[in-house]
Amino acid sequence: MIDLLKTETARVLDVVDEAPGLKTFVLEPANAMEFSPGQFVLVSKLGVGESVFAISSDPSDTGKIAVSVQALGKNTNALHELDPGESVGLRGPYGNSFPIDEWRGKRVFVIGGGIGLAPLRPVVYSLLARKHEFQSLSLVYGARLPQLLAYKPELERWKEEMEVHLTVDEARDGWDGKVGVVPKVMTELALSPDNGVAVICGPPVMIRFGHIALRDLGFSDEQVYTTLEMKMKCGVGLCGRCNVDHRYICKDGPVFRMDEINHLG
Amino acid sequence: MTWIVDDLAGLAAFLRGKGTVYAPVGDGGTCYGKLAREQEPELDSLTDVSARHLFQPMTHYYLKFEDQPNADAGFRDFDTAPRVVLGMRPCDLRGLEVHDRVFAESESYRKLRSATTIVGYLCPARESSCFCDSMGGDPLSREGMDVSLYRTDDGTYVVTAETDRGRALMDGAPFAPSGQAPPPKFAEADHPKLEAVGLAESLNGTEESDGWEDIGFACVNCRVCTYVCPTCHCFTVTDEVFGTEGGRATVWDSCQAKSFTKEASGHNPRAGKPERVRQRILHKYNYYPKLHGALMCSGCGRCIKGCPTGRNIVEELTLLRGGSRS
Repeated sequence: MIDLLKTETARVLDVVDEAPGLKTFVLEPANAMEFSPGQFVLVSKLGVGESVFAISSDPSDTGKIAVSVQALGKNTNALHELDPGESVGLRGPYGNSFPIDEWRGKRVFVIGGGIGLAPLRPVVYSLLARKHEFQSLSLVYGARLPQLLAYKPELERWKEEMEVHLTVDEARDGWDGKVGVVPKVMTELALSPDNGVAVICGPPVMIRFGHIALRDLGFSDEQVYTTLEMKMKCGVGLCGRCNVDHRYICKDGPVFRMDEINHLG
Repeated sequence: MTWIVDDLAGLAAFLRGKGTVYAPVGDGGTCYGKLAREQEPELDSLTDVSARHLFQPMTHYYLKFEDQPNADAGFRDFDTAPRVVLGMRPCDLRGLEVHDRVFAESESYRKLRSATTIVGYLCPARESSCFCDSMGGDPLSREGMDVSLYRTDDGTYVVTAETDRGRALMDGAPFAPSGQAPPPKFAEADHPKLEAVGLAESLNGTEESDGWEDIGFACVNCRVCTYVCPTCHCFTVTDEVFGTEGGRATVWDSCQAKSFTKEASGHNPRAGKPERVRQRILHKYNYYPKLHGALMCSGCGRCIKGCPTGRNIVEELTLLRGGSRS
């Protein structure tokens, strides 16, 4: 098993402050790494530890990958100390990806909550790169507070190219946009299940209520995709902790269509 | 080719000439260890701990540094010097089949496996916690053994080379060839029984069963059941530093530990004992069978023998299938 855990190195090219406690690290892998939206990597500092991160950059931006890191534990706090030019351990990409080709001709709704937009950002980039292939593209994104909305420059740019609805749980700092949790806004917007596909990621409670909102709007579970997060260590389906039923989230996921995971609880 | 061997000391001495020998050692044979010169293997009872650590080290630093962490820390593979594992029983070998399936894609594992020649030991006596027969096993099976070994009524041992690797190991054996070997000695005992036909399917849809509360009640989170098991294989990856030395290691882990699935945010999808005992039991008898078409249990009974609160997995499976505890 250990041979499957070998790490490569990557150089930190840029560090972007996204929100309090949230930084995006743009990395240049020593060996070029191609990935598809939804896949993840393990980033590490030797002597500290390895952690799993969804890749949050544009898949067409070859030679680079970005991960958005919220400082929560030992590893993520150590990563937050990194400066451009420093080196980290990197392995991956792992896991499956969003079946964007299958969504051609459809109305695509990307729905994110908080840091849950990280794995969806590559989806948005990929959708916009070929936007004429879809009937319509929309983003519904929310955070607890205005300052916690990630990727603000991108959100502004995307407003020019697609329908973008931003919301916060609590209006502060002169916020004059929508107020309310993401599932509530989805309902208010009356997202149409007609020829629609929804992609949702956020905190577990937001996914749960977002899924209920989509059902109430008439979306079938075959029309809804999500990416699951569980504690992972190996990333290659061996260490056992992300095992749910006969699946390993790291290997068979992290992307699932809702009808595939409903019975997983 | 079959030989009669008078005592285990002679066999061990011969095998030591072919590579490092690992066998049950300790008082009465508690676990597998390196067999020292003049040391005899203890084969009379099933070891308390399986041979898992010989194929999946408890701790293995695959990245190591001696003077501060650095990007050049080299990859350290398993030690693949030729070795012999003596005394593995049929239930241990069925456990090893699980590791062979799970780690099939790992070259490091395959190399370690091919550096190992297995001299298996046909079971001399059933113990009161054994249930290999319920799991489709046979205490006298030679499956997975390169060389088989058993004890006869008169106290001698019969050794048979079963595979090419086994024949190579026994090449030059100074023992008396046997034309007609006496049969193995096997002592029966009362033991737990369970109908295994349809077991995996019968557990479908039991996730929400009230039984998990009952089963989890007695658990004290000690994890012994997972550490003595020959089929368990979960591990963690951890970085450790001691002074200026340190590295990254794989270390055995257990689904029965609260920390196993606890995330940095504090969220834990398996925070309670019912969820954790459910994971262990369903992984073995429902999830793994869905993937591999076989149960992830060889019925060795070590989890029953080792549980400090007397939990019995055969009773628990019976309970889950709608029966009552015996």
